[in-house]
Amino acid sequence: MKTKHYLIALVALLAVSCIGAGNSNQTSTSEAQQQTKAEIKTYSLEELLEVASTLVDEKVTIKANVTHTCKHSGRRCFVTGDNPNVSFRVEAAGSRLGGFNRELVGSELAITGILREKRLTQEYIDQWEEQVKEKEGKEDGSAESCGAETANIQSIRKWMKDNGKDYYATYYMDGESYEVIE
Amino acid sequence: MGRKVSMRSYNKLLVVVIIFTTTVLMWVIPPFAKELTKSPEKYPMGYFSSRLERLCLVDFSDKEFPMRDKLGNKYNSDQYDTLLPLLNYRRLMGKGLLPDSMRGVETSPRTLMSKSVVFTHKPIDFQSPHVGLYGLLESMPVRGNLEMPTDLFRIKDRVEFIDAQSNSVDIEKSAKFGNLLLKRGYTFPTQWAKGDCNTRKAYDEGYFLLDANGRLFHMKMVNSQPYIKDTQVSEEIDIIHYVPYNAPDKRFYGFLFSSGGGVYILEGDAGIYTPRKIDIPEFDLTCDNISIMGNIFYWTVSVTNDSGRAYYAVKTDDLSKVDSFKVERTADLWDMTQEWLMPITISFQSKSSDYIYPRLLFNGCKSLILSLLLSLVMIYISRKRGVREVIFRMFIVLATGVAGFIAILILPNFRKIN
Repeated sequence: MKTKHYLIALVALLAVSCIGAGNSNQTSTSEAQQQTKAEIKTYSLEELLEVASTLVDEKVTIKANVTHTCKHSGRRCFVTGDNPNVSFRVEAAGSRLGGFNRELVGSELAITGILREKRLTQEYIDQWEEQVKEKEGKEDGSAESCGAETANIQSIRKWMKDNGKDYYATYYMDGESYEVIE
Repeated sequence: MGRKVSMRSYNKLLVVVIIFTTTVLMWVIPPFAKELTKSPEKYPMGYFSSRLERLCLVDFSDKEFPMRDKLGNKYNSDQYDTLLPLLNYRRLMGKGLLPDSMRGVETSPRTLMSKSVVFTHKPIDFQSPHVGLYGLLESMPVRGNLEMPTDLFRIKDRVEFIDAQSNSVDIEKSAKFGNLLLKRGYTFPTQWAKGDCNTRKAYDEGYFLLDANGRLFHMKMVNSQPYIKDTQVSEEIDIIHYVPYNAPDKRFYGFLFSSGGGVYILEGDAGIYTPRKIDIPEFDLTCDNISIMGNIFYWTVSVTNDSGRAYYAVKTDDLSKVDSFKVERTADLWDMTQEWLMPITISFQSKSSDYIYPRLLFNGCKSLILSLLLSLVMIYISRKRGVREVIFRMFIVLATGVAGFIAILILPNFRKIN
């Protein structure tokens, strides 16, 4: 009889400790989430691009206006800040973000995701320049666009020289979630 | 005395039986006569030739010259392929005859496919009962493919998502959508919700809802969150019907029908919804059939009703009319039979509606002439009967024609009360 009482008490103790442990786990998870949310810094596009090289592969939130969404898949969108000439690409990534619906164009979003860097190497830029020159030689009416590309390449080279880099960095974001700012 | 009462009861019962039999015959005879006399309605397919710049009719029952244009010129099968290249581009591609471009526009199969429109709508699509339960797909699925939802929603006085497995209301999801609807200015009760819960399509655009004030809202689920927007279209047109359509190039969401008989496409660009009117005459949703076959340059719109089939060609970009043509319906034996058969017929079904209820159809004045003749015959047949009986018979035949005449002939006479 005594053994039976001990057993019941043991089971009860285990149950209480399990519930307690579960609660403490939940509390700690929720605290961690809140902490993580608080740690993710929000930037405007201009602010982000200024410090982008220091935030590569980090989670950030960007507030910007949607100028374009991929019409067919919706898997990427382009956003812009105060300067309409600077645009930034956001790819739909993560387990919760399927894409950007086309009706979002014109809306201001707060997009959270991982900032990524893509480096254009010296070799890549050289090849690109050669291709542009070949196109220019064909005289098929694409001279205007070739001129724009050449100017682009020159500005990239200038940036590399001024900053003492052997690559040119472009940035985009693997978006994980977004909210429409109203 | 008892026999007299019994005779009166018998005669009263006979009146009821005659009326009942006449009513049944008014329902039964017309479909039987129609089966014997009706010829199938055949109209040629219409298509606007971007080469000839005019409407053409295609009828493959003519093996030698399957195509003719609206001016009456006839064309053989090879000419049919090349003069309608945007309709027959697959066949031309197989023969290596598809042009690279037309009017300076690339005509690759991919481009042609993305600009093609095929749409049909019948009155029965408009007048059908609905269960009132809808499935809302995730419009931006993470894994790429559209998947059937595990819940359904109803939207009348409020929106409620119901889990199909447990049959319980998902309070959180319902509140999320309901609150956003109200925030966007939606007014319950909902008049209708139109969408296409089908995973065998390229993309999903959710539902279009008409609220109590006649305002059209767009509702869909994007990344598990509600997207709801007032399209503002109701400020321009009085919408009564909408049919969703998955345009391959995503130019428009679907077809809108207004109370004034206008047919529109609902274009969408950057979150702005614009109705664009198809330049055709007034369209009656309750009795007109419409079919649209569109290509990169022109849409051919065919409207069929009891008077025939009208063909319209409109430009793809602004939907303005460039050509029209009509093939009048030729009357068949049933048309004549129907006119003469009986003044009023009863029908429970209609070719333009899925609703089943008794409908009284008036068939015109010619049938009254036949009814009058039959009632004179009935007076002659009943000349030896009592005055009241003759008047009753005459009235029944005059009002119901053949149905009443047959009913009286097959049923026994009234009994004389001495």
